[in-house]
Amino acid sequence: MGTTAELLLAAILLFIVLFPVLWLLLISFRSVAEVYRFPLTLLPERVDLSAYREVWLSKGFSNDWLQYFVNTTLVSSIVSAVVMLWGTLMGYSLSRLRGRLLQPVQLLLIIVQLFNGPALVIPMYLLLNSIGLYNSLFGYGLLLVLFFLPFSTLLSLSFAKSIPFELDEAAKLDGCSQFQSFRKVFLPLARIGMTTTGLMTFLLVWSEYPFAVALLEGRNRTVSTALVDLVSGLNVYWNQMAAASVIISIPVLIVLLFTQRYIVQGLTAGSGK
Amino acid sequence: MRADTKSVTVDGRGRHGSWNFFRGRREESLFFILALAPGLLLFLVLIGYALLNLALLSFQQVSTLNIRSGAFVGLATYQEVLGRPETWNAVRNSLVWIGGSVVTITVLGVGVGVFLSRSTVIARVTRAFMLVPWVLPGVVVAALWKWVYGSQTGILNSFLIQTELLDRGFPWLGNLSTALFAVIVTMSWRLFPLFGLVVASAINTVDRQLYEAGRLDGASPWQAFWHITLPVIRPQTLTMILLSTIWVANNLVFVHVMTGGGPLRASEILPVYLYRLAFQNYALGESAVVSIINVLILLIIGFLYVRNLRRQVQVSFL
Amino acid sequence: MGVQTFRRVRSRFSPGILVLAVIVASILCTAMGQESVDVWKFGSPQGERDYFSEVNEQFTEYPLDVQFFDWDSRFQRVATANSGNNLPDILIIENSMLPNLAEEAVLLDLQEIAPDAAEQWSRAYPEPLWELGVFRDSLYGFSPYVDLSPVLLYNTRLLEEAGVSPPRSWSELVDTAEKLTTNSVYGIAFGASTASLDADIIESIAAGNGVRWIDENTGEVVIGDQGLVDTFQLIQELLPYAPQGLTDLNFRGALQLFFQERAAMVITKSFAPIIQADYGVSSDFPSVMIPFPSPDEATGRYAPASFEAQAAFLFAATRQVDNQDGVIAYLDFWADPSQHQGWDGSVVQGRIPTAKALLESDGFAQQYPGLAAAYREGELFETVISIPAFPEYTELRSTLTEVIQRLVLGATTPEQAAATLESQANRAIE
Repeated sequence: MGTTAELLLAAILLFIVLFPVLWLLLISFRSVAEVYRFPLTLLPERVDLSAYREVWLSKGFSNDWLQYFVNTTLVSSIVSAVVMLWGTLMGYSLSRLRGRLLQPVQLLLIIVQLFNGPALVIPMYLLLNSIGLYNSLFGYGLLLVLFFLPFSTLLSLSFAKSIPFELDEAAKLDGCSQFQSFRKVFLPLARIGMTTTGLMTFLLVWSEYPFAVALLEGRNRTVSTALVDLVSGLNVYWNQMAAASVIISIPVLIVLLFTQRYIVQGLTAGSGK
Repeated sequence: MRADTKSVTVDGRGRHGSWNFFRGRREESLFFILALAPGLLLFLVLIGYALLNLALLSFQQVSTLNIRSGAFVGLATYQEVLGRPETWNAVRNSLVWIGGSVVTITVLGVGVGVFLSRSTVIARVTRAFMLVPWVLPGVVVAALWKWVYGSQTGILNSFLIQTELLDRGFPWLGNLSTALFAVIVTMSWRLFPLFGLVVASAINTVDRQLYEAGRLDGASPWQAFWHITLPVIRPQTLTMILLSTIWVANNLVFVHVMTGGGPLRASEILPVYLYRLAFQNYALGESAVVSIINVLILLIIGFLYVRNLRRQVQVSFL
Repeated sequence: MGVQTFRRVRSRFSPGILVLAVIVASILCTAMGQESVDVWKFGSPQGERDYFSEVNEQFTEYPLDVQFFDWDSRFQRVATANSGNNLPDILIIENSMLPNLAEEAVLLDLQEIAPDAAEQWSRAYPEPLWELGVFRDSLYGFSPYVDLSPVLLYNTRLLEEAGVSPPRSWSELVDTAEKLTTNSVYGIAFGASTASLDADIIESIAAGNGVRWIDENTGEVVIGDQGLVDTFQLIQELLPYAPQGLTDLNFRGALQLFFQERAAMVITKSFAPIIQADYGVSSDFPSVMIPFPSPDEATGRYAPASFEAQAAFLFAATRQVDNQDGVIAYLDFWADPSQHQGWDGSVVQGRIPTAKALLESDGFAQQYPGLAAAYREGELFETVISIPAFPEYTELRSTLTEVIQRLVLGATTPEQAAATLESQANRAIE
C-alpha cells in the first residue's frame, strides 16, 4: 500500500471517527446565537470563549466540575487497573483450562453480562443501598468491576489463546512455579492485549452513565451525569456541553497518545521463538 | 460428553486424571483455582441475585414507585405481556437492531483492524484516536447524532441540500422505514473503532514471522488475509462479536434519546420498551418479563457462540 | 511462595475495606443528614437555577442542601430513591407527576403536617392555581409559577409582509398559515415527535375545544368525542403548511425554526421566551405571543378551556422527611410571594407567576399585557384548567403520541385516531 493511499484511508477513517468530536470543538468556540444560526457555518464567524467561562462558573449548574473530574479519573483508573489485571489472570487461567469446565465457565461469563442492562439498575441500586454503599464511589467502582470483569476476562482469554502454551511449559521445565511463569513469561507477551483491554475499560467506565445516574449524587457525581445535565429536557446548551467535553477530553487524549505506544510495539522484541 | 473427550484428545494435552481440570500438577491447580474462584463465585452470586430479582418481579403486579408493595399474580403478567402485539414488535425490532448493528460493526471492525495493525507512523497515529469517541457518555453522543440527523436543523440534511442531493430536509429519525437504521449507523459508529482496535492488537500479538513466511510462499494479500490473518484473529473477533451483541442488545440510550422508539414504535427495541413499561406505565412486573425475553434471546446467541468457539479450538490446535 | 503471598493479600484486602467503607459512609450520612433540609430539583434553565439558588441563600433558619439533576432522569431517580429510602425532604416536581407519586404515598399531605400554615399559604394564590397542587382532596404542594398551553407565537414582520392579521379562530388559523407559506417559510410549525411535551401541547388544543379525559363528577372516561375528532381534523388541515417530517421535530425544533424566521407561526407553551434566551435570539425579535385561537364553534362536551396550566416548580414534601420543622419552615419561606419576585419577568422571563401579588405587578403587565389585563378583569383563571393529572395519563400520553404521529404520517383519519384513543383510555382506566 502506497503512502498516499494509506494517508487517504487514515484521513477518511479519522474523519468518520472524529467528526462529532471535531464538530463539538468547533461549536465550543461559538456564542449561543451562532450555534443556532441558519444556515450553520462550518467555522465560527467569531471566536467566542463565553461557553468555557459559563460552564465553569455557572452556579446553578454543575459548579463542581473539578470534583466530578477527579471522581471520574479515580474511578476509571482504579477500576480499569483492577479489571485489567484480574481479567488477565482469569483469562490466562481459563485458557489453560481443559475440556469439561471451560464451556460452562464461558457461558457463566456471558450470562453475567446479559444482565448489565436497564432492567437491573433498580435491583443493583437496592443491593448497594442495603449494604450502605449508595452514593459511594467505592460501591460504584465495586459494581463496575463486577460488570466489566467478565468482559475483560473473555477478551483476555481470546488473547491468551494466541500465546503459545509451549512457552510457559518451557518456563516450568526451567523450574519456574506457575505464578512465576504467569508473571515472567505470559504477562510480557500479553502486554498488547492487556493494554487494549485496560484502555477500553478505562473509557467504558469514563463514559458510564446508567449506573452513575442511579447510584451517585452530590459531590460524588461523575462527569458523564454532569454533561448529560447540559443537554437534557427543556434546555440544551450545546456550546457549554461542547466546552466541557473539550476540557475533559484533553487529559484523556494525552493518556491515549501516551499508551498507544504499548499497543504498537508488538512482539518485535519478545516473540521468544 | 463424547465431544468433550474428543476435544481433550485433539488438543493433545489431556494426560491427567479426570478430577483435574488443569494441565499440570497439584501446585499449578492451586494457582488456577485461586485465580478463578473469587471471580467466578462473585459472578454466580450476581447472576443468582439478578435472576431471583427478575423472576420475583415478573410474577408480581408491582409499581416502579413502590417496589415492596407488589402482589403475586402468578403467570398473569406473562400472559398479558406476551399477548400484546407491541411486545412482538419490540422483539422484531430488537432482532433487526442487533443483526444490523453487529454485522456492520464486524465488517467495519475487521477491515479497520487490518489497516490499524500496520506498523507505519500513520497507522499508529490513527490508532491512538480510535477511542476518542468514548470520552463522551452515550447520552451525549446520541443527542449529538440526533442533531446531525434532524430534518430541519440537522447537519446531514444541510449538507445534502447544499450539495443538491436533496431539495428539502429528510426526516431520517422520523420516517417509518429509516428511523431504526439511522440509529444503527450511530450504534455502529460508536462500536466499530473498539472492534478495530482489538483486531489490530490481535494481529500484533501474533508473530510477524508468520506473515513473512506467507509472503515468501508467494501468497497474495487476499490469500494472506484469508489464510493467515483470519484464523489468527478468529478468537478475538468471535469474542468481540459476542460482546458487541450483548452491548448492542442491552443498549437503551441511543434509541431512547434519538427516536424515543418512534415513529409509531418503528424503532422500539426491547430495552426501550421495558424502560417505557417501567418508567411511564410504572409496571415493573411487566418490564421484568420483557427483560427476561431479552435475556433469553441473548442466551441463545451465547450458546451458539460457545459452541462455535469449541469447534474453533479444535481446528486451531490440530 | 508466590501463590501464598497472593492468597494472603487477597484475604486481608476486600472484607476489611468493605467494613471500613460502610462505617465511614454511615458516619458521613448521619453527620450530614441531621439538621439540613434536602431539596431535589430536576431540570430548569440555568438562569432559573441561578435565581433559585440566590433566593435560597436568604433561607437561613436551617442549612440547605439543594441538588440539581437532569430532567430526563426524574422518574428513575424518584422511583429508586423511594424504594431505597433515600428521598430528600423536598422534591420539586411538575404536577403531572403528582398523581402517581401521591397514589404510592411518596408525598405527604401538607394539610396534615401543617394544617394552619397551609390554610394561610393558600390565601396568597388564586384558587384555580392553588388547586394544581391538590389531588383527591389532599394538598401536595404549590408552585411559584405555571406554564400555560396552548399559545401561538407569530412573527409580526412576516405577517405584515403577507398582509394578514393574527388569527382568532381555527378557520382563520388555517387560512393564515396558508397565506404565510412561501418557498422558504413554513406557515406554521409544531412538534409531533415522541417528546412528551409535543403530545401535551396538542392535548391542550383539544381542551380548548371542550375535550376532557375524565368527567370530574362521574369519573367516567369521556375522551373521544366530536371535540377530539375536530382537533385532529385541525392538525390534519395544518399539515400542508407545516414542515415535512414533523415526526422528528419537537417543540424545541419548532421554536428554533420560528426564531430562525423559517416558520411564521408556532404552536407552543408560554415558556417560549426561555428558549428564545437559550437560543441567543435578541429580545427585539419581531414575535408576539397570543392565546391559541379558539374553535369557530366548540364541539367538545365541556366548557372550552382557555389554557391548561402546568405547575412546573411544585414544592412537595416526601414521606421520608427527616426534619419536619425544617421542611415546614422552608415551605413557609417559599409560599411567601416576595420570594417569587424574579418570576414576574424581571429575572426569569417566560413564566406565569401564581401569586396574586405578582399577577398584579407591573413586571407581569409589561411582559404579558394581554394576560395581565385579563387577570385584572377577573377573567384569566375562570377557564384555566390543569394539565391532565390522573395516574394513567403518563401511560396514555404515549398512546396519544402514537395517534398524533399516525395522523401526521397520513396513516389514519381523525375519526379513527379519536376512536383509538378512546378505547385505549377505557382499557387503561377501567
